[in-house]
Amino acid sequence: MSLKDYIFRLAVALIFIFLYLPSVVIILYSFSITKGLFGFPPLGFTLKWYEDMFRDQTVVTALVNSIVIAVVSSALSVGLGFMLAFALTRYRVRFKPIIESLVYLPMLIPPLIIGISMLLFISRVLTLKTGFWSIVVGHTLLALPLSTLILNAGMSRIDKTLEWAAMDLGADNIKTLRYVTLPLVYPSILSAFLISFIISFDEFIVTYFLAPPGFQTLPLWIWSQLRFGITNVLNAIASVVIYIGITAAVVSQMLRSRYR
Amino acid sequence: MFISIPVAFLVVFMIIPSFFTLIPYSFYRLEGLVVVPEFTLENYMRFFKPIYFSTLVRTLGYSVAATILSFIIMYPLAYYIWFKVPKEKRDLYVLLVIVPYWAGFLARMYGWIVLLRGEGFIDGVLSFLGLEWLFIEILYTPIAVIIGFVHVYSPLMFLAIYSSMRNVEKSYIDAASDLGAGPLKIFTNILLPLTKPGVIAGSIIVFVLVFGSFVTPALLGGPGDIMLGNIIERQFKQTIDWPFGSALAVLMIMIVLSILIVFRRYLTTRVFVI
Amino acid sequence: MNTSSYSVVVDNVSKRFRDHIALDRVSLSIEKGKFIVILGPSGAGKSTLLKIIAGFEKPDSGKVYLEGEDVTNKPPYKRNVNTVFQNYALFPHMTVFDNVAFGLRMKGYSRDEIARKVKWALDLVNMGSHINKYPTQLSGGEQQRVALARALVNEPPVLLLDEPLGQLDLKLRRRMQRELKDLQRKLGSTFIHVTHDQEEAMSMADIIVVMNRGKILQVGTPEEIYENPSSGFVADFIGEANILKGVVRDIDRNSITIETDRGFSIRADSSGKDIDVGSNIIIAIRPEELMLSRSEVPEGYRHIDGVVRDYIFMGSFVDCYIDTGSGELRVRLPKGEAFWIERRARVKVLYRPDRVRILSQ
Repeated sequence: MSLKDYIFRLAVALIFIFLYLPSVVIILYSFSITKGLFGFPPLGFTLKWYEDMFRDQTVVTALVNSIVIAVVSSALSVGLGFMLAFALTRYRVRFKPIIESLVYLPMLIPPLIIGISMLLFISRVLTLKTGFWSIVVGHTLLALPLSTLILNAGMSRIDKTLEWAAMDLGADNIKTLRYVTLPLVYPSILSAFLISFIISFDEFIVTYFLAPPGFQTLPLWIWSQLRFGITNVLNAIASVVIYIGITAAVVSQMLRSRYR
Repeated sequence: MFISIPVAFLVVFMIIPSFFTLIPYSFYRLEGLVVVPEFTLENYMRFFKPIYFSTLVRTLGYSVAATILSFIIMYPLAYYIWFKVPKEKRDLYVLLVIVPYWAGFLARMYGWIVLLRGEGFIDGVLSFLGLEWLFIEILYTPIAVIIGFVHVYSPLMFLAIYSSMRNVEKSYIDAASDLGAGPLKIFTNILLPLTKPGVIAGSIIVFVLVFGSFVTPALLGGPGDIMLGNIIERQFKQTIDWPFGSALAVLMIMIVLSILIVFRRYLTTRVFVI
Repeated sequence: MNTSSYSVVVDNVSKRFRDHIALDRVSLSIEKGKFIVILGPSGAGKSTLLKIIAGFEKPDSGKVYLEGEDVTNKPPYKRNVNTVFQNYALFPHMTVFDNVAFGLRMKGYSRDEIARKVKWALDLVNMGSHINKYPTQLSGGEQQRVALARALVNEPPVLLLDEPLGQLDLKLRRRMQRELKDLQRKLGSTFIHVTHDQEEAMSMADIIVVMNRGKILQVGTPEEIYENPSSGFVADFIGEANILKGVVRDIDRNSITIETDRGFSIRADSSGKDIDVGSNIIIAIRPEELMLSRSEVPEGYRHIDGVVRDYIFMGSFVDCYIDTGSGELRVRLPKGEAFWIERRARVKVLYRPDRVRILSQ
């Protein structure tokens, strides 16, 4: 191997260090009993911060809220994404390019814009109070593009003749969906659900604008800690968010590559 | 047909709020703390005050810097993974690049605070090595903000570049070097033209996402390093001047949408999912 | 039309995909209990015809009747036909048993009945021992049998087979052809089999339907089609043929003399045909019905003079290309009769006038 190759490898290693260092550092400190908050090097091993985390009622409430919102909004975004993917892959849809750009827009429009315009719309036009459901809707909107993309890819991989075969054997549209289409797109459905779950679980911006005073989600809690005083428990909580995000991303990716 | 359900959802919760609520609101007048639905251009005129205009320029600067840096680190990485990594390990490497994107946005911002703060992790490592004179003092500076942006959004740049890189066969490069092209010639004449769509798509994605941000400068930047997003956020969360905030938001949408429309043919869906 | 005495009636059906006409006013009546083979090159519209009978595609115009009932607007699951697909289309997430049981479950049979019928169908195709395997664990031939069992278990009066043997190797294909034919005789139902392989069609069919470019060109028994092809296309597609164009120069009772475009004249039996001198005509002679000799002409034969341009060994026979002046003829000889052939040899091409087929005028 030439010197050039070694330099190349070193550069690649540095990029990976850059990508992983912040997460690794947080995880290291979440287990350490270093004096002060961030003395170097992080020393010792303790699960104390994780235990404290579950003792803190605010954190537990925030965690529960985050999970409930993530589950509901993922279910919604997978449901809506399935309808879109089904229609876009099975039927000749009118205005297809317009519908597609509409669906993929929330991925590229700043979430800040989505947050404030939903706030305006719900509080001033509908004159309702924002809260749990408006946050769920916002997260569904943000997760819809990727969940549609994943489901679309999964659906278009299904051989059309399998659905024909089911109908040929006497299954009507509903039964064909139930016994053939759904079981075959199941990995994509799960994959889309997981991605939607982390998008919501980790979502801060839209939540920040729509959460009523006193309503906590995990990212809102982390934000308030970052603005108004860092504690050791934050390391544990940030680590939990990292674990959940990485696990969901890896599993989601593996589910998709299984059928390739 | 049931495509109408998701389309209705998008229209009701995205199109109506952003176009038919935000835009009218940006022309309303604020009297004291009350929004009066009377037409005025005042909100837009206020934007031309130097402090807002310079913020727009700074915002564009951050976006350009983060885009260029993401390209500089992710292009070689995409090249390396496609051409140097054995076929059976490629998917694993790609996964390793995109996983950090999902590893908690605020958690990673927090990670950079821990790393960059005075007497933080990096300083700790340096003093451990006896290199105190290298102490970095970049937290709450534009450098930290840009590091944060590159860290968050460069995996998306990678995905876009990699999706084009996959169309380049090793034999093209071999053929070019067989015909006497040096590395620079190969890059400018073979690689770059073939991966151009991915580079453009990745640049648009990173640029647009950075342009609309406010969390990263709020956490990693100093008071003078704010972006357009921070001013908008302030109008909604602190000063409660919603019409002015709406006007700035309309400005932001217009800039973002015109970029997306101009470059729409590069933003194919395969750029986002491997 | 009395449609109820037929198994399938396709009445004036047209289908177009964008600017491509897949079926052009196709009509076909299929008798009960027959083995029908729809034969044609790819793109002929034969698969589209099958899909329209099964209900996967709707015709733009025309009607489809099954057992006398108009099913044109009925979905596939309300039609009493079953299909064996080209790629088998076995459900990858179900075992062999569940695949075969699928149709019965949809119709609400009891567990015992399902078990009994599935066993019967799998035994029918000699797959009784693979019940718990998944399709990916089976070979192509085995998947093919399961696909067959999955369709047959429903005891459909009409079975549609869309090039089901196309993905099998030659040897297995020959065996499956025989098995399919036996199965059809045993069950007595109507089989409609699509293929582009003329040998397959000849060996299996009671009736062959020849299609090209969205039209039905000829319907008949294999013998009828082989002996009396209605056009040059059919003659060439069913077996091979020397297709010649020519002008009628002389008529003598039941025999005509044609001056061909290949530099020679040929005699043909014209009994029962009304032909005028000077008319343009297309004729076909099959290579295997021609013979070669050095000089002698046996009783009942006529000859054309020529020179051997080339010859190619094709296994059990030899294809000889004979230069006849301004064109060539292909002559297929059994291997044992070709030992004396060499390039540039002067030969006589022997033919019997009653084997020269007059296709059109």
